Parts: sequence; C-alpha cells; structure tokens
Amino acid sequence: MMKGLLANRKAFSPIIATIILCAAVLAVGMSLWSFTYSVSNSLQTSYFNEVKAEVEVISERFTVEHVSHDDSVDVLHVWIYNYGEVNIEVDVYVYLEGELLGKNVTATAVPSGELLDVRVSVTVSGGSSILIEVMSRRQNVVYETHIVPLE
Amino acid sequence: MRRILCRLNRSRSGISTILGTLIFVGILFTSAIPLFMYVNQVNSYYNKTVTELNRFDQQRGEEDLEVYAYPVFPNDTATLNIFIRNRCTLTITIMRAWVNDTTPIPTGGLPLQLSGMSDVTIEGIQIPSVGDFDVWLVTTRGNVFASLTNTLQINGTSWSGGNPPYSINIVIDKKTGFRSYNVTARLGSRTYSTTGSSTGYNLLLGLDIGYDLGVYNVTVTRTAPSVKVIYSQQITITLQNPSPWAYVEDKV
Repeated sequence: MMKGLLANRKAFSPIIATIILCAAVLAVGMSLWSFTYSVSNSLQTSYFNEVKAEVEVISERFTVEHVSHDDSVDVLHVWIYNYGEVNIEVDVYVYLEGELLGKNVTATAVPSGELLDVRVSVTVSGGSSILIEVMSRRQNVVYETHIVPLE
Repeated sequence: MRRILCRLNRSRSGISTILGTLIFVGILFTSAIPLFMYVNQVNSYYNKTVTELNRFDQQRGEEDLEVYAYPVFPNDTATLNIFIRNRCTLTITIMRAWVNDTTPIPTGGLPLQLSGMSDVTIEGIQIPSVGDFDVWLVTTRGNVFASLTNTLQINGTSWSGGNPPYSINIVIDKKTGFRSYNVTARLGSRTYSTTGSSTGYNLLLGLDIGYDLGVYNVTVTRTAPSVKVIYSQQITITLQNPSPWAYVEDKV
C-alpha cells in the first residue's frame, strides 16, 4: 500500500495547492471583511454626525426679545431668547442705514431655554432706526429693528 | 487513503468557492445590511425631528394673546396688573413679563400656564407711581405679545394709554347711493362720536372709546340725505369683549 502511495506522489501537489488556495481565499476574504466592516462603521459614524449637525441647524430657534439703548455708556442691550432645544452661539451686528455701526462677535453662548443680554457698543442718536442682525454660528439669522428713543 | 486523496483532488476548486461565498455572505450580513438599516434609522430620526419642528412652528404661529396692562393704586402706591386672554385653543406658558427694561416677578410668580380660550390676571407688579411704561409678555414658544394699552402713562392716581384698546364697531347695511351717518356712544357724562359716508352697499364705522368699561348708549343717526335715527341700543364693553360689533340696517 505504501509503495502504491509513494508511486502516486504526484497527488500531493493538488492537495497542497488546494490548501494554499483556501488559505489565500481566507486571508483575502478576512482582510476584505475587516476592511468593509471598518469602512461601514466609519460611514455610519460620519453619516450620523452629518445628520446630527443638520438637525442642530434646523432645530435652532431664537428671537430678539427686547432691545434697549443705554445712552450714558453708548451700549445697546440685545436680549436674545433661545427657545429651541439646542444651545447656540451668536454674533450680533448693528446697522444704521446699511452701514455697520457696531458688532459683538464673541460667539456668546445662549443655552437652550435661556435669555441672555448681549451688549454691543454703539454710538447712535435718539430717533434713529437701527437694524439688529443676530447670526448664530450655525448660520441661522434673526433680524430685529429698533427705534432708539429720544432722550 | 487513496480514495480520499482522489476525492480531494476532484473537488479542490469547490472549497475555495464555498469559502469565498461564505465570506461574501458574512460581509453582507455584518457590514452592508447593518449600514443600510442604520442609515434608514438615522433618516427616520431626521424626518421625525423635522415633523416635530414643523408642528412646533405651527403651534407658535397659532399662539394668540390679548394683553391689557393697567395700574391700580392701593395705599398711594402703584401696582401693575396684566389681564391676559388666550384667544387660541393651545395651552400657552408665559415665561416673562417685561415692564420697560426690566423683568419683574409678579405675585404668584412666572412661568404661568394658560389653558386655551381662558383668561387670567397677573397681579402685584410694583412700579413707580409716575412714569411711562411699556408692557409685554413672552411665551415659551418665543412669541412676544405687547399690551394693547401700551404706552401706559401713569401720573400718581390716574393713567392713560397710547392706543385706546376699546372700540365699538358699527356695520351699516345700507341702500346704495350717498348716505352719511353719525355714531354716538355715551357713558355717563362722556360722549364719543364719529361720522362717515358711503355711496356703496355698506359702511363700517369704528368708534374708539378709551379705557372705560361699561354699558354704552349707542345711537346711529343718518344725517344725509335725510335725518333719521336708525339705531339706538345699549352695548356693553367688558375686558372679555373689548370691541363689540353691531349690525345696523338702513335699506329704506
């Protein structure tokens, strides 16, 4: 029997070839599996982050609740009420007849449900009609007009 | 043994195919399908948020409050009361009351929930007994409602407002052709009147009557082309009905 087997020694090479082929398939397959799995996870995370960011953009809700001008120190008080469910950061610009009069671009944080007084240094005379632009860092904008009372 | 080797030799290409298929199916079930399901789930979350925000914006647009601020003068001090009427079916939560540049806390405190179509009076806001005051309220949905009596001008023991909140509205259903009318409303010694004319089918005459609640004797008189009293009734003005309407026919 042994003699017969040794006589047919050519049969060994197909077996080895099969084993090598299986090993190669397994190696390439596992690598591909691992790569696909990590890409899939990465895609999931990035897609969720994108959607979350978009949801935060559309969820922003804020309004200018009140404006007053303190002419003794030339400061405009802009009360911003965040009635949305996400925290916001806002910059405030004040225009008079289309020209920038003053701004506060410190990205003032207004937590959800809170009212905050944002101060802008402006020199403006009584009776002037000013435009207040409140822009969030997510690029949502709210406008408000205010007529400065006569002294 | 020889038989086994022969079998292996015969089917060697099949094993790798099976392994490849198994790996492909594994990738499909562990990466592709979960990714697809996850994306669907995230999309549902986005759509749900959009729907909720749309509903919120719609409710915000439906909010409707009538606000009347008025002072009372107990013991030589001035106290501000704010009568609020919710004119929509939603429950509204009032977050803050502004009086000029301050947000005072009334007796009972804020926030205050107000059911649909109901009214309430916020009381006990201390203010100086002399001065001009603008009053407005802010709701949790971000709406700002100014008092219809703004600007309040208070002078010790009496007060007046910038825009009279109460009015009587007369709609005259008339015959075509030129006709003119005079509307008079009397309450005690006070008399308010207005005139108007039209050549059409009808005419609306609004009569601002200041701040006095009560029962008014209202008379509508046709003054041209002939003089005739066409309406004489009592109309009651209350906080609940600050601007009543009356319909008068003059077809003769």
